[in-house]
Amino acid sequence: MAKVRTYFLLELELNDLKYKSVNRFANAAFVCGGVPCADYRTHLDTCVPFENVFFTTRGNLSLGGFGYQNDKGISFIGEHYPFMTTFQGLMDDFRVVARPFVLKLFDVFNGKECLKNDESSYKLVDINKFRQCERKCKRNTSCQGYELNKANTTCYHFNKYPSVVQSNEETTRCVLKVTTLE
Amino acid sequence: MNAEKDFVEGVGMLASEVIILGESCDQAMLNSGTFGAQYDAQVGNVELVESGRVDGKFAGKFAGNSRFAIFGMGPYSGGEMVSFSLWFKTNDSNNEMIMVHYGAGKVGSKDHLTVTLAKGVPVVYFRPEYQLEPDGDGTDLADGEWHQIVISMPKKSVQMAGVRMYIDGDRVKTSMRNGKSENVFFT
Repeated sequence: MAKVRTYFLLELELNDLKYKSVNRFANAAFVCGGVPCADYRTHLDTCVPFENVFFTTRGNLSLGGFGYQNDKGISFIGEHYPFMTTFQGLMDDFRVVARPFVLKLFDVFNGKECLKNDESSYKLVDINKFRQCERKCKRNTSCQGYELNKANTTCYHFNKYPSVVQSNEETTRCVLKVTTLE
Repeated sequence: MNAEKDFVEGVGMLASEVIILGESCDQAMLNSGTFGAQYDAQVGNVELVESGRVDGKFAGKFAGNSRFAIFGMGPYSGGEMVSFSLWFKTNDSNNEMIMVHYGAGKVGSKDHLTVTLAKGVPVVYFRPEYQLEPDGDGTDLADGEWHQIVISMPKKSVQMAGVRMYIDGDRVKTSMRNGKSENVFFT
């Protein structure tokens, strides 16, 4: 799976990481200017950050259980979900992002055209603007791709994945709909 | 939070262990995302095993006493978008297992985002009475195979019913269990 780091807040991967001592986290959370802090709350109350700007955080994240959310005594979330159990099994490649995951993307082949040898698999679409060609294909679940020629203002929609072939016109592009995440 | 701390020359006191829900966590999973070490996870009893999903890579093996938690989640608040992606493999189709949980504050006053696997069916909890689940009865992901589940907020403060679920790369139709839906708003 490709890595996309833009806007990533957190990207924990279980793939190829090595465990380290918990000290690394503690260095950020429990020590402020070399002064030991009793706990996180004390850290916020008494310590003045002297290095990187780091604002207060709220909320806890956990895998396979409720983690700190049920440990701090502020939420007792477990009381609302007593029927839930911890996860048992394997987990891998966990990611959190502060944006949506995108399902549908288009593979764009500029200077190429979509092969039109099966007349039942494509149709000429009436469009007024170039963007409508993609927009209509995106909305039409049976549309697997489109061919757009800006010079001729033509738009073909394909209900089967077309082959991509070289075009004689540079203004032609063949675009395939791909259903993949990221 | 309980923490065992050791003195480290030139640095001060460092925690060598934290206790999460009664289990000692003396290891950390490093965050490889852009926010870095502030979001490393404290881990206990999660064994790294060869996954079989990707050759030569490892996965975390969770048991009943496993703990994997991150204390602060920073800017995830209000109606900000939060999206999860996770690969998992399990045979347990008898229980409702917690897979991912994000939350803060008291339950009911603000939303949380909890993904469970209820007898093989992924369910998203925002509050105890607000649950998003796939339509139909055909979903069973507790079959001992690798599966990917993605929970995606398409925009800020989206309606709970508008949160999208993807299973193995395909979007699945979902609906709120009791038909009610509100805008997602975290602490």
